[in-house]
Amino acid sequence: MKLKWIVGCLVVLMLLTTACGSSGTEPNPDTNQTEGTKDTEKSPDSGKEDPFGKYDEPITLTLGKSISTKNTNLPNGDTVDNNEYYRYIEKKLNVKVTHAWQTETQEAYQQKLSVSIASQDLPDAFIVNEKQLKQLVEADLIADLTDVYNKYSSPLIKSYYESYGDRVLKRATFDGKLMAFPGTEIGGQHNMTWIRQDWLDKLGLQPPKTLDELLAIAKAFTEKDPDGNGKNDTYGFTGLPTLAGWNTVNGFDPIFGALHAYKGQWLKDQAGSTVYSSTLPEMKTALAKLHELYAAGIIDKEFPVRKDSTELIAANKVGIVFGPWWIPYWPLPDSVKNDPKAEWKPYTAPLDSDGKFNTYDQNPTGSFLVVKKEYAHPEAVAKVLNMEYEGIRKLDPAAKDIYKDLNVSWVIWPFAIQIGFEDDAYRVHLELKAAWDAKDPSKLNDELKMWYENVKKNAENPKKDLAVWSDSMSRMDGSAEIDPSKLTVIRNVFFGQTKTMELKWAILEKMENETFLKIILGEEPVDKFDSFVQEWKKLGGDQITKEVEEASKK
Amino acid sequence: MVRSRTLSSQLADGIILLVLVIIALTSLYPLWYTIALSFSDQAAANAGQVTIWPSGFNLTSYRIILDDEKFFRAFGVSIKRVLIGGALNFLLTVIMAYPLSRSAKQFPGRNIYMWLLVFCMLFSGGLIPLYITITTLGMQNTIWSLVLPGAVPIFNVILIMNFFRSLPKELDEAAVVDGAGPWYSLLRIYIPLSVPAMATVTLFSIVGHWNSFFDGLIYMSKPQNYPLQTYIQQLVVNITPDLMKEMTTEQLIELMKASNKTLNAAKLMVAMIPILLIYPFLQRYFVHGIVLGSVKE
Amino acid sequence: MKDKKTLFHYHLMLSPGILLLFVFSIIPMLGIVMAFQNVIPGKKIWKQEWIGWDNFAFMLQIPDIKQVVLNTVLIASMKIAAGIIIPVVFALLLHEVQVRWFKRTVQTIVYLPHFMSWVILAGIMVNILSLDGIVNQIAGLFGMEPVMFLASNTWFRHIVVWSDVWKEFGFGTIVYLAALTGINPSLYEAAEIDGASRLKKLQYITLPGIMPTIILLTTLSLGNVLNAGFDQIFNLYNPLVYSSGDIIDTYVYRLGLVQMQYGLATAVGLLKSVVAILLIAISYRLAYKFANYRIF
Repeated sequence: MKLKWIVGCLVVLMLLTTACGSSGTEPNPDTNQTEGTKDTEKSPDSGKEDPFGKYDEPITLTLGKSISTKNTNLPNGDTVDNNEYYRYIEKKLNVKVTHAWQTETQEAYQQKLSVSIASQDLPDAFIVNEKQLKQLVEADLIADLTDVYNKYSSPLIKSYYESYGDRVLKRATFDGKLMAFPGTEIGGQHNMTWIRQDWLDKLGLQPPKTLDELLAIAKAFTEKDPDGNGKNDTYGFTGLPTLAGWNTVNGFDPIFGALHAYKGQWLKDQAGSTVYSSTLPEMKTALAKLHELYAAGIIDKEFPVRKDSTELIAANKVGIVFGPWWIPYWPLPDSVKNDPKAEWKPYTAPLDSDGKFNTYDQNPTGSFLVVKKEYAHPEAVAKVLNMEYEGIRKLDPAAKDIYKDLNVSWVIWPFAIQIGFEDDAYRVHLELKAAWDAKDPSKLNDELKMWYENVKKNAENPKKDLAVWSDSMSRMDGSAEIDPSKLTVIRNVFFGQTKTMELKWAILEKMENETFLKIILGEEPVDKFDSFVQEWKKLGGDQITKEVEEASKK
Repeated sequence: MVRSRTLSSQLADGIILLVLVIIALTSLYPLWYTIALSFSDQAAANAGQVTIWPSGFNLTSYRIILDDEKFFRAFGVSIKRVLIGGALNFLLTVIMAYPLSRSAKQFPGRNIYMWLLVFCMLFSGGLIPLYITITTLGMQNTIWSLVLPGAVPIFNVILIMNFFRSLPKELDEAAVVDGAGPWYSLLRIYIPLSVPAMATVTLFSIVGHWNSFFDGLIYMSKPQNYPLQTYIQQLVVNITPDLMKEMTTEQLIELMKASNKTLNAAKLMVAMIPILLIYPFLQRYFVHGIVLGSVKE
Repeated sequence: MKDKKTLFHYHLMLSPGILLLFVFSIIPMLGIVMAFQNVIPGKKIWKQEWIGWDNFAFMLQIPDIKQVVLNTVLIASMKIAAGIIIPVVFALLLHEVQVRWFKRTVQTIVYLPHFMSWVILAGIMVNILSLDGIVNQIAGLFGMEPVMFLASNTWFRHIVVWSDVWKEFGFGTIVYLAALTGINPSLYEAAEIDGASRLKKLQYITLPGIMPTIILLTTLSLGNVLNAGFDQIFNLYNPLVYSSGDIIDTYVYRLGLVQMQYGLATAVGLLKSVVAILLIAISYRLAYKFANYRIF
């Protein structure tokens, strides 16, 4: 019996000591050194503040990383943690990058990371979400990168961030200190309207401009047997239980937009005060409209209970799909595979009464690259990131030819964080389009060259190879519709969570989703919307609105 | 049971058989469906066109799963885990259940142990303290992180303890008269008489070890060390809205491509096969057990 | 009987297990203090802010906590009750069958759904219960209007309970089958000689024989009265059935609390554990007092 108490005490002791060990560390000599150089701005050692300066002594940088080891296309036995990119960085910077741990999927990464953070078993650098960033700042576990950013980040990286104004960097700034390198979400991910051209042709219809035209088409798709199988088994479109939102194929966003309604956005009204878009009268109108459509059988009857709303697309039961420019990658190929006649075309429609296509802006950032506080060389992270982006954008002649023509993804570089201009997807499209029009792919980079080839292949042999079709449809047709001049973007003034939201948001959201769905299905009258708004305000909505108003002023 | 049966008894038998057959068929359908799905073409599966037979028969999913040496390495880790973990579970179950099956009179302190076990079964400090314990002991990336934390299967201990208690008391008394110690009566009397119960709990622990994937993910820092279920779990991802909010377009497209019903089904099948093989083997022990009367005096 | 040496061996037998429990279960229980802290992940456990019962108070403040708890308890209790009765009945039916291969085959088959994940099963159920699914087709033969079952608050709880029972009963049966083998065959032989009917044998031999196992498993399953099955409900529900299907776990999940809110997550876990041990202790006392039977 005694033995186990002894072992027990030992374990407790070990727990205590290791835990202290990681937190109680004094800033180590190396950190002091960097601070030293900071004080004497122009030190003789010229390499010190060079964004691409090589270290005299080799240093290491450990990462936690989510990276699939499947289909990496890496040659010669290279692996995701030992490859040309990593060796190139070691050669150029004397920084040896290794993985403290890695996972295959993003989901697993989140689980592993949560444990890692909570037990303070952190890699030197890793990527977190906004909530985790806030917690890490509060727990004082990550390094202040203000100086690192100012002195070591390359002009390229800085130009990307600056293109967003302060919308991105501000989100990683706490008390004036920059605590992370934020990733940037590339814009133009709104839902547009994809329509089966072959169905339109068959029924002799014209592509829609207005909402009424779109709905007329949806009605025809429902009632006039566009697939010609003699059965009444098609719908105009299907939907989602949550109705709308970012990254949601089948969200009703375009319909909402045409009626000036938006779901779940924090907007400034005309008087300049903050309002929650789901509670505005326009939403009531939009719900009434959707109810009308549902009752008429134009919307898939079972959309609220479907686990996978894309099933109907794959089964070719719908002729209209609301989705971003990239849905030819998924789920449209399933549709084409099951019915090779399917001819999907993207439209920036329906337009509102003023002829505008309304959408709301997307969260410009959601992931953050952070550095462990104890890490002695935080500037090494900036340097590696600099090298990486010079490489990804093919600006570094020496890195340009690494893995040439092997179709190795950029995420093989150490940091799988996306930093770029907001309209990158559209810029890339323009570049590709220009080359295509000029029939000259010589100036394109590898990736674009591949797309160019695929556009060509698909033009010669449409839909022969669906992977080729996906590239061609997304990069040429889909992304042509994200031309900023075609869109009216309503600014969301607040992303994130306030104090009261932590407690009450789930209940408000629950009420919102439940009420809206019931209105659409006709289980509640449309006027239920008014009591929903009252209830919403009472149960914390008003308080939250106030908090958002304050937070968005900062 | 060679006695002739009455008509009503035969009728009862018939009804029982019918009910059992119907229930068995409903239980079989999901498995059947999953097999059909796993051999189907992905586009057809995504369109919900699979109901009974595979649509667009192909083996792609199985090829992806069995693709490389990683599968077999993970399989090896799992086998090792089941063997070590299962053996450990069995050993601890037996040696803990026996003293606990004594009455409080025979073994003062027994109730304290018992409630300690129940307490440990119901309360937990959560994942983080356990993780810290394991890293402190330097067990991460070893098989011990997978087998030691659950080495005492409390539920099984309680089951076996109850089974031991239900055995006739005279057995024990006879042994004591013979001057046999506790180890002797455990090994020679209690274990041989409890084969069905042993088979049951062994099945539970094998299934438990075979199916768990989360600990493999948390305690192993590289995919090379994953047990099979962790590895397979990572092949297919479930798209949740929360996850989508944090992803870049590229990641999202990758995810969409990976989210794959046929692969998911094949994954399930591959993971089930070893369990399906073991089951009939263990089953003979708990369907028929041994005939108690033959041992009992 | 209780000579020192025997007692020593008893303690010895228990010691390896207790030692393992101590290291991997009891020491980590220090983490329970997180239920009383405002846990900032990454801070040392003793440097966290102590907030007393705030995490528990938080749960009570949830505006529709009553409904959520009611759903949880209702669904969980129905599952517990059905999860005892069905496997017992099934094991008894199977026990009656004399044809050995049939018995084995059925037993193997019914245990299969246990290995299916809810992600896949939910997909199957959505198909079966859809407007043109098999259930509505059969109901249509009797002239009933098609029902959207998964959107109906009348049906949702039943769907959840019965599908769970269907998935797990085969696995639950195994324990009872093992218990049935423990019944002394000479009892049946004696009853046969006395000319006892099947029902009488069931009533006087079989049921009493497995009663301890039934009581034990019932008691242990009481510990699940606040676990209504997150995976299952998460994969089956939608906003239309929130009022009948939203349970504590799904609610907490939607709060986004599970990820990094260790304080609250621990508090929810602790609450469940306390309720579980209370219920188990009560039934332990009752069984002892009225039946003079010790469950453990």
